[in-house]
Amino acid sequence: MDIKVEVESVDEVIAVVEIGGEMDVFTAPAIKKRVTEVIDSGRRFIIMDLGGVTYIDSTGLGLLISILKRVREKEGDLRIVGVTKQVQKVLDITGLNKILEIKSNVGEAIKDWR
Amino acid sequence: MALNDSAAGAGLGKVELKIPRRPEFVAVARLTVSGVASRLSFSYEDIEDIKIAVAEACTHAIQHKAVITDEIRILCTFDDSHLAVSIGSGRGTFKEGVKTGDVADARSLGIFLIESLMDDVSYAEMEDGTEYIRMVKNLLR
Repeated sequence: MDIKVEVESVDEVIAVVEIGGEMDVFTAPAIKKRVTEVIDSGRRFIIMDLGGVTYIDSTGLGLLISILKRVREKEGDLRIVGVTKQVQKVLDITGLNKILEIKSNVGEAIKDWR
Repeated sequence: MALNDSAAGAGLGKVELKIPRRPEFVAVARLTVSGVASRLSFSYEDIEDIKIAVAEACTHAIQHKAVITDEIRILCTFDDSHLAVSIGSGRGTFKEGVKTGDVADARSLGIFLIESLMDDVSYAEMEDGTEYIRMVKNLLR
């Protein structure tokens, strides 16, 4: 499967999930499984680093929304960093740029969470 | 299903592809149509739009519960003014269950993306009841 999911725990409640490759109907289940494990381990403030994402479609977008819902249920939050041109375009077209909080880098994303 | 020249316009260049109706083959369709588009000198941005539209149509066909066939058919027809991609997989594939308006509904988002990224999108039904989506990107010179 052409996908990389790397998790870095910042502390007990914050984690950075770095995605590399394609976020589509094929790879989304594996990404969801890994992120769900992270959230279930107690990390409810999640930063999704999409800097290595070469392609995203509606399944990938749906995954981001489902992660957002899951962390909010646990009184956490989701922020996105490393948004590429292709990802930004589909976020803009779908209006999800108004729902998903996009930050310029990890430092900016965690600033007011600590 | 008979995705043929009458479905997408006669007298055009043509590339046909059949893929298994499985997620791991969506990228095959995406990259094949991308190759066709690049031969037609579409811009990088247009090719990216076409890739997303093709993947969304295939994904929609895979996720549709009523589909009865095991394959997705993709027909590209083209001339020096446009590329048309017709994709079909079975009965009731595209007309039902879309546009719920729910941002969490990836299938609804997919059709919205297709209609946003392509210049013309239409839906048609063959005599046997199978449906296909036809997506056109015009080649601006």
